[in-house]
Amino acid sequence: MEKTNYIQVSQFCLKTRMEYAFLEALISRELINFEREANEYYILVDEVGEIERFYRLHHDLGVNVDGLEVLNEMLGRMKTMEEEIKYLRQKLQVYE
Amino acid sequence: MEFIDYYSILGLKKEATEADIKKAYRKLARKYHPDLNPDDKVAHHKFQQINEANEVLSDPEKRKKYDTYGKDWKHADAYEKAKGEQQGRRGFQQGSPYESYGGQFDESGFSDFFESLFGGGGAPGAGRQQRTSSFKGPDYKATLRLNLSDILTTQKQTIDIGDKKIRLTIPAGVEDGQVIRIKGHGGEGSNGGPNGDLYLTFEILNNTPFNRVKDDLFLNVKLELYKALLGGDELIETLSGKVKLKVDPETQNGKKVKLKAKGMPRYKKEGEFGDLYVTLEIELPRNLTDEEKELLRKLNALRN
Repeated sequence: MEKTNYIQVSQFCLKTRMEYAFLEALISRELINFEREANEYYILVDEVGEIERFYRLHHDLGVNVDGLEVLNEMLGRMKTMEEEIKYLRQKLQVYE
Repeated sequence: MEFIDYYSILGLKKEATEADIKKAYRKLARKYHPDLNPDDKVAHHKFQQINEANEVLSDPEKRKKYDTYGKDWKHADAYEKAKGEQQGRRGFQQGSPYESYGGQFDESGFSDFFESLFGGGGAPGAGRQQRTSSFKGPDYKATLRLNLSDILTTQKQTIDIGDKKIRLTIPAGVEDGQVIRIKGHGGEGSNGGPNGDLYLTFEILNNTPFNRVKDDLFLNVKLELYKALLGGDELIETLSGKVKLKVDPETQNGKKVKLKAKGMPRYKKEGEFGDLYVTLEIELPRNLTDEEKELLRKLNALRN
């Protein structure tokens, strides 16, 4: 594990004042990528934006972690469908 | 500066209770939250307004001030004068830096009207100024317009972002609407925090006769009737120059021919290309001479 790319979850929570339990819940549902070493969780620096997004949805909309899991799945499907629509629109242009 | 009716933004009456405000905010936030409406500027703006309205109306102290000075906002100067005495008492909760989306907006994210009443330090982002923790800077978004003919090869380009110049490598075959993240080129972080990122969206303008679908290209080619009937060669335009296509005798209208690897370069796959699909459209001759008509009649008689 290349240490420069990871942040210790406890340090991340200390700096951002995000609840450790919230991060733990995201980790337990595998909503974010993590590494575990010597009983400590580590998150990838690149995952911070994703964590912020989950936290905003949790805080702004009052969505609990179970809800975030569903929401994330649905947003993922929506994105796939949007890409498919874009592809089909392009394809339609060929025949117009 | 325009008066903003926070009650109407949340669809509430002035006598709304705290619970009504919370309910209305949640309902509208669910609809317009930027994380649920990515790339939707209207939703983004709407959420900004909702957030601002909630920021004021959900705080009893601020709501009282808004109710007192809100409609008569031109008296805000007098309030400003009085505000000096109150400083130190006022303040926002010192929660997490990710408390709400408010801090993600441009500048303070709050309207001039809000700032005239509550000062620039009222937004959640302002609370950050008093903390010693470091925070990542805001992410920036920008659009880069390129012609389709410019993305056939990987190229380097310098773009201006405010007062900074960034030298970018644009891989061949980048797609219209594709977004790339350029790490650390967003807004400056605070208290030694990392810079935000720059999200660059590519807008590809098609300046070619081809239709593009991902890596494949599509082209309609008009074919003379006689060439379609008797066969021959047809020069086809491709991105890498003209190629000779052998037309079989008795080629039917609408026939599709695939020219392998004559499409767009595949994104980040050097040496790989999509295909070019050519649709042959047989063009019937116009302004027939008497002699041609006569010959066609003879042909018709032969066939029937």
